[in-house]
Order: sequence, then structure tokens, then C-alpha cells
Amino acid sequence: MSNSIYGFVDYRNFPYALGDTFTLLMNLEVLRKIKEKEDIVQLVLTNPKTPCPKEQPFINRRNFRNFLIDLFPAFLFSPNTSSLTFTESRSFFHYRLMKGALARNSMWPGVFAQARGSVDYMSHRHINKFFLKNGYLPRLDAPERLKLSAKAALDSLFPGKSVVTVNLRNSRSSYFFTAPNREANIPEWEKFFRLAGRSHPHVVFLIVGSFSEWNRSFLDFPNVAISRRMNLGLADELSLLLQSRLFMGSSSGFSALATFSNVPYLIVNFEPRAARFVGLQIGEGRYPFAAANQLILWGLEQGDELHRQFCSVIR
Amino acid sequence: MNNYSILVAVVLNRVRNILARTALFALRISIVRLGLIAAEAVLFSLQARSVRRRSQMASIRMSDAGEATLDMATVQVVQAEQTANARGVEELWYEIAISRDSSAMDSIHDLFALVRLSSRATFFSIAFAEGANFPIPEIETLDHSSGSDHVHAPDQSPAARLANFASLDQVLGKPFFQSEIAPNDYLKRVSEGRKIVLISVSGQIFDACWEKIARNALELIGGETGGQFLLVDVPAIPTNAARPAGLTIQLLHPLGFTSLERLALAKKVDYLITDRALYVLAASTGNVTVLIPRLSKKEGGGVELEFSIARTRN
Repeated sequence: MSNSIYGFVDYRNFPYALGDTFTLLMNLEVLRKIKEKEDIVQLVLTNPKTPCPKEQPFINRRNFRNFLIDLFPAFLFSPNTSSLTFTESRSFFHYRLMKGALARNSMWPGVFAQARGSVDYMSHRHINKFFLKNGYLPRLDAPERLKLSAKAALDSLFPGKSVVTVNLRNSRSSYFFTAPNREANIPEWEKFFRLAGRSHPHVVFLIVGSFSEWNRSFLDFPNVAISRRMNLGLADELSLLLQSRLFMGSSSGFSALATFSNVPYLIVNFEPRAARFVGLQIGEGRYPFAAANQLILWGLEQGDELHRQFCSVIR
Repeated sequence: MNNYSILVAVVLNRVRNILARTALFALRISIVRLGLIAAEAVLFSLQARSVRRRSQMASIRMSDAGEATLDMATVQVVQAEQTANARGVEELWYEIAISRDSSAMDSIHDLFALVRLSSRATFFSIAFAEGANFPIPEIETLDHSSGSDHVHAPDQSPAARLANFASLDQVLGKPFFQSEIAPNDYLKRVSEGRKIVLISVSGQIFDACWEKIARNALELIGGETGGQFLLVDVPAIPTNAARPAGLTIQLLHPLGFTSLERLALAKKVDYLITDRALYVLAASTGNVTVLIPRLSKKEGGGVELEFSIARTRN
């Protein structure tokens, strides 16, 4: 029996989504602890014949590689992953799956879950259970090299400033506009940036996320910087998030990394539908494992409320 | 028992039957799927043992080469793909060993993108720790250094090694760029009949010779049209640096193109000045004149910038 835990991800059952990728990695980190294994070995399948789950019909055999390439840096944030493998060969994936099962290796999800095709990659069930039993959680973290580059970027781009990373879900201008109820309330964020500029002039808000996500009106704010205009990619942004003073933003991909880190955060407009998957009651202000300065806000964001919460967390 | 109770009992019975049938159906589907998984696993196991099938598979192992990893890795990938092409290898299994604190982490994303876009690459494995590679079947490891002559020239820079290469599409077996909408739209908007030059050079050359590169670009294309458009693939041009007259200069980074989109631009412009292997490769799929700048030591000290024309547009 191997001393590793094996993660088998088949993108036929798993969404190309940043937040879900972090939850997947966190589940693997927790299961590694539960099974008392040394490291995590991941095998990821993107088979061109079945490249995506049915919830993402806009992904097909012609474009799935682009989605995977965009997501790739997220996989680097599991500190105990010793091997990360991507394959397009379904037969190899199943060969390794069966071989692992016969060798009684610790695997997640197992053969039967893969056969059922309903795999619980996204819930916080294992995570919350582990925390309740042990009182702590393993955390996601950036690779050493990315930590150093992020620190260098902070020092050179924003000397003497306190950096708050912000990600706002704003997919109206992207090719794939989904879930309008999760979109950020941009005018209220503009109001917040104005208020924060007056009350905290030493703070810079660094907007992270793809080029189509940030609103062009943010260019007018002296206390707002856009990471993609500084040639920072997803890997840099994620590392910067982990070193920032605070993370603020929509309940979306970046917020999942903040959730499983030690960074203080304000996650806004939390989706009530998602509450039951993560073990929260609607209206509850914190994850069970969150620190005192890691807060969740429900409902559409309002500038004044954002500013009030920001002041209370950043002090 | 009144009519109401009978009705409830009948409904409950129906519901139970439906649920039982659904569960049985789901179980059957799961059993069928499990059978398919097992069958595929057995099939792969047999294939991995078959001499004929194994001859169609090969692996390439790359290790963390320190600085300039992406350029070196690009050459390695091209060599491996070319060797595979010549030998009829249908599947290439890429394995890379890398440490989390190495400078190669800076370019691992680009390398992943390059390898993912190869039609032969069915497997890409990154080992972060000693001995942590995902075990693969016993297949031949390609000696990728024995690729064709024009990529096997160890005394040349990685970019120069790939300069005469026919086409990236040919190596990878399929079009390299899957999404060119944004670069195409952008170039259409800005060209207005002007010749467009893209400069994408490493920091060392840029810092030492920006003005000379820009003047050279102007000289090279000056006679062709009445105004040139220079795209510069750097975050910033030093504020005190001179900007040769007659050029419209646009920095690429603030425009927000992804790294793949910037590569897609390289095949669409008229001239490309670059010392980056990946950009030379990208240009191989278009009709572009490629110039490779190189710093050489002058007699009596100092450095000199030289250009070699790697490819001329039709």
C-alpha cells in the first residue's frame, strides 16, 4: 500500500472553475491528514470525447484545452502535492484507477464514485468534519518561488502601501456570462473605493481576475490598480492574494483560495443556494473554521456597509 | 380501512416501486460503467505490453534547467515532437521534475500551455519531489537531442536553433492557436495600412539596447510605408529613453492580452524582433520577417548588438 493519497479528477464530472479547483485541493489536503499519508498524487483527465461536465455546455473539444491552461496555476497551490499529472487518455486514467484500487491505495474519489459519475468534489463535508474533530485545518499555499515573486512585485509596484486584493465577479462582457445573481454591484464598489480613498489613503486596491472582469471605470480611481495591466497572471495574482493585507470580493473563484488560507477576508454577496454545500446557515457570518477577521456578507453589496466592514477588519 | 387510507397505501406503494426501480436502474448503470472502467483498464494494460503499440508511444523527460528554462524547454519540446514525427510515434508522454523554489516555476505555466497544445502529448506530469513521478508504462524514452539538424545546433541560442523551422503547426500536428479573435480584432483596428513590428526581447537585451532596437526597426521597415506601428512586449519603456521619431509605440502588457494571445500576435505582425524561442516558433505559422538580436562582446570592452534575419516574409 502506497504512502500517498491519490486524487483522480475526471473533467467529465468536474467543472472548469477556479473555486471548485481550490475546494478539490483542500479536500485532498484534508483527506491526506485523515488517512495519515505523506503526500498527494493527482491524476487529471481531460478526454477530448467527453471534455466537460454537462453544466458547462460552452466548453467543447475545440476549446477545453484553453480552459485547462487558464486554470493550471491553481493546481500549484496544494503544498503537499508531490506529483501532478494531466492526461487525455481515458484508458490510462482507468488503468491507474483500477490498479490503485487493487493495490488498496487511498484514493479519492474511488472507483465506485467514478462509476456512479456523481462525485462530491465541491462540498465542505470532509473539511468541516475534520475541523470539528481536530480544531485546525491544513491550508493552501503558494509554491516558494511564487511567494518570492509576489513579495518582489509588492515591494516594487506598491512601495510603502498596504495592498488589499479585490476580485469582483463581472462576467457580463466575457464570452460566457452565467449566474447574473452572482455579479458584483459595481456602482457600490466605486462608492466604496471613494470612501476608502479618503479614510485609508495608504491602501491600494489591487483588482485581480481576467481582463474581461474588471470594470473600465476603475481606471479613474487613484487607489485602484489592475493586476492584468501589470503583466501579472493568475499564478502571480493568487500568490499576491495570499500576501495581501486583506482580500475582498465576490463569492467566486478567488474567494475560495482566501477561504482556505490565513488571509483576512470579506467575501460578499454569498450565494444562498451554495450555503448547504459548505455547511453554512443562510445569514451566518463565518465558516466554521474561519478566524475572527474572515467574514462573509450576504445580499447584494452596498458601499457604506463595505466600508464599515473594511474599517473594522483592516483597523 | 377507509377509502382515504387505501388511496394513501396505493400511492405509497407506487412511490416505493418507482424508487426501487430507479435505484435498480442506477445500480445497473453503475455496474455497466464499472465494467467499462475495468475493460478500459485491461485494454490499456494489454496495449502497454504490446510491442507494436509500445512503439507508438514514447516518453520525454525534462529536468529543471535553471535559468532560461522556457527557451530550453521549447527547444526540447520541438525536438521531441520532430523526432516523434519522424519515427511514427503517436503518443508522447512528457515528464518534468521541478522544485517549488526553482526559477523554472516562472515558466511552468507557459510550458504546460505549449505541451498541452501538441496533438501527440497525451500525458504531462510534473514531479515536485524526488521520485514522485506518476508511474507510466515501460516505454522508450526519446533521445530528443537527436532531432533534425536545424534544431540541433548547441552553439546557437534557443531562438536561433528554431529559426529555420518549417512550422509549429506541423510539429504539433494541429493549429497552435485556438483563440485568435482578440489579437486579430486588435491588429485590424490599429494597423490602418501600416506595417506592424512586434518587439519581444528578454530583459537583458531590452535594458541594454532598447533605443538601438527601435532605430533598427525603423531602418528595416522605414522604406515600406509612411508610418510604423511598434508593439513592445514589456511592462514599461524607461521614461528617460529616447523614442525614435516616426514610430507609434504601444506597450502590449497594459492591453491585457494573455500570454497565448501575445504569441498569436507574433504570427500576425509584419516584423518580429525577438530572442525568445517560443515567439520564433509562433511566427513560424505566419508570414513574418523574424530578426533575432544578440549581444556580443566588443573588442576593447563593452557589448554590441547584432541582428540576424532568421526568416523573411514572402
